[in-house]
Amino acid sequence: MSGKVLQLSQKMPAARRRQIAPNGVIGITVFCLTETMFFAGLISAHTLFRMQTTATDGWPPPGQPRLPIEETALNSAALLASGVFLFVAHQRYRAAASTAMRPMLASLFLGAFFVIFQGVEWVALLGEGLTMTSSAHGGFFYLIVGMHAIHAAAGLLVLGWAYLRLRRAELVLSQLLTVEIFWYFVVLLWPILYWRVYL
Amino acid sequence: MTALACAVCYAAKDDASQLAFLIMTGFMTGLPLLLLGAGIYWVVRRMRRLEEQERVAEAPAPTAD
Repeated sequence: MSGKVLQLSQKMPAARRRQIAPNGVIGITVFCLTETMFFAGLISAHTLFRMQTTATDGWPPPGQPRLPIEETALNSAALLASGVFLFVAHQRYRAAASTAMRPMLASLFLGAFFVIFQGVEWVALLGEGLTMTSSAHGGFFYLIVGMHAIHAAAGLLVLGWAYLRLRRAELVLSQLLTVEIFWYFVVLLWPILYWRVYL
Repeated sequence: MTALACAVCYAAKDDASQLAFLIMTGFMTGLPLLLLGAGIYWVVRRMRRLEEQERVAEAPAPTAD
């Protein structure tokens, strides 16, 4: 019996193992999908709170400052431009790796501008009385925008790491793709958060 | 008669809030299904493309005659 099984297995062609994507790409994609659900939960809770508050007291809640919509729109444009520059860096990397350095550096600077500007905005809002404990509005604002800022800061670190590797001609395509997927997640998530939290 | 253990009965006292609960329930139910579906679609499409590339690579080169 065992001899027959052995014979059969010898006749059957060996199953091919294909790697559909680099491990880093699969790992970061799964991570981004779980983070999408995390932010979806926050957005959902915030939307319910906002609808209830708007119906009873109006929006923003009484005694709470108005969020800086126009300034943040400018900041959002900087973050979106950062994503575009990273896309350009990817295209250039495929043509000639050394030519990707400038657009990648531009992406890094615009991302850093976004995070620093967010910090400046927070200081101003704290001065106006919007804190984590001033109201549920403040709590939601700092939680949602703060979680995004943590992701953006982490994204800047990995972008910086990728840039340094690129300068030393050590960056491989799978590493660039992994960093890109995370940064695109940070960039594309922001307009949704801006729409739900600020507008 | 209301059941206060239910979030919709307790918190959604007006039409706008009830609509928000309804939309967010649909959103939180549909999003993971959409993400999983997109992931499966991508894996299947990628597998097919790799198979196609292997088939082309393994095909015998055309002869001159």
